[in-house]
Amino acid sequence: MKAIIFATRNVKEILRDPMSYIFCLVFPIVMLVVFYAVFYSPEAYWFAIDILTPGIAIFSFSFTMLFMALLVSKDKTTAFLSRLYTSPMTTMDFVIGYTIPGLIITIGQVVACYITAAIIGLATGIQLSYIGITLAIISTIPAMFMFIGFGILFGSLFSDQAAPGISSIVITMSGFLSGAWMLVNPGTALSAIFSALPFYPAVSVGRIVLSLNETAFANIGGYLAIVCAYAVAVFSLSVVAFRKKTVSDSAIVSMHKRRVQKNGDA
Amino acid sequence: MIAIQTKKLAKKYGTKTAVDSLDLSVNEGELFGLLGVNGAGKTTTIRMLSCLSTPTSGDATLMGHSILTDTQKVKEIINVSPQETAIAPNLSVRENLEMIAGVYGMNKATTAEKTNKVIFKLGLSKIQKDRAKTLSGGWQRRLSIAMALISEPQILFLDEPTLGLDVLARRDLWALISDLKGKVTIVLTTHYMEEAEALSDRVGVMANGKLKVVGTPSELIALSGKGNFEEAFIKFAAVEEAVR
Repeated sequence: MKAIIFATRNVKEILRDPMSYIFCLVFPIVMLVVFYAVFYSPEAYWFAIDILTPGIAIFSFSFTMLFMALLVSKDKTTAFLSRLYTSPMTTMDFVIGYTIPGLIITIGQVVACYITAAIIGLATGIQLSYIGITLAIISTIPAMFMFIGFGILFGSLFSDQAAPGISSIVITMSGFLSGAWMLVNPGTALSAIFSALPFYPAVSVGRIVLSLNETAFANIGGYLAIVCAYAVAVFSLSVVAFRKKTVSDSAIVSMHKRRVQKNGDA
Repeated sequence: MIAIQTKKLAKKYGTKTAVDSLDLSVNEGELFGLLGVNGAGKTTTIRMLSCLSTPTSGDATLMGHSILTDTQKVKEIINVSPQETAIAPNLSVRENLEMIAGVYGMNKATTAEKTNKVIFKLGLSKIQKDRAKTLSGGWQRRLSIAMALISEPQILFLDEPTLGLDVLARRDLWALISDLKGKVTIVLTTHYMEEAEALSDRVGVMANGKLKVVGTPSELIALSGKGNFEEAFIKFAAVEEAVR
């Protein structure tokens, strides 16, 4: 219950920032529409709506990561977390309280992306399977946790000034190393690098599931394993970092010292 | 009844001793002023008593509950108004209060009742729908204290509650804190001597992590042989300062 109350506060904190709508919702949808409308042709088939949408959906999660990182780092920098540490809340309450808003926003993003794709599909005569869309939305769950984990991790490790900069590295990586809007030829060195990182496998899982192509499903296990492994690793790391950098004795002392330097007291 | 009892409470950071074998008792309903110059150990003491920091040695009991073995119970009966204004900026005044009430385990009906009560008591009615970040420093501090009061704590820690406020806002908060006297056990830290003198039932002066002297403001003035409270404080705090 305490976690839900804290989660409600975090949802309000993020959603009351108008920039969160622009970055998390408007920007991905505009990208989807513009990329398809401007770049799609039979030669540039990777801009087809069923190939582009899973990529943009995963890319949109990186903006949720940014807002999560900002929220955690700001809470850490101000005395707000210190106040809550003196309350009966446990570390798990904090972690759940930060994770739920991330899940709500990422679910909203992926649903908005696929609704947009379905509308484009209807308008252009491309039939997207509703079963495929549903499965594709579900298939993004590991990626959701991974990006939320990145957000909590960066927010715990860095200040509210440094966290956005660090997050922008992952935003760039999730755009360019995911093959969201570019062709990745299998068997090349580039594709090996792409496959070792979680972004391209996360996009590939969505594309395979959306296509409902039985032959393509043979490849899904490897991609899914990579995304899940990254999700578990990053999320676990974020919990450890949160405990160590915000809840621990030394972390509280160093946070207090930073605030004291600003305010000039003991 | 004794509300706070510390037993040889100590905190070390490496070789530096922040709090040194502190033996202190605060009675229930008392407003205890904890004074000292920067680095004297008062904030570290409050951090240990509010379970934010684990003592290196010693223990303390709050209403009979140990800060070492009964942390969760201690957290349920205390609340803290930190030195910095600790509020959720994008939440309204009412939402900030409701959130804290919920965190302390109150159900919906109790939350609404306590929120209304605190809003009325602290004169927050007019601004209850305003976002916290839009309030002036004085109102933010008032909200911060309201957030500490909504859980109806048995022990309240006020860490520099009037730091950075103008004279009017400070006097306003004095009246508020005076009103709590006798109802809640309060530990107050402040650098304003007139504040400590006006509000505290008893005062403890810390220096170099040690509790140098404890007594009522008038007892301390008499003991120091000085003409006023500020001079008395300087005498007790400065002697140890010279040794640092």
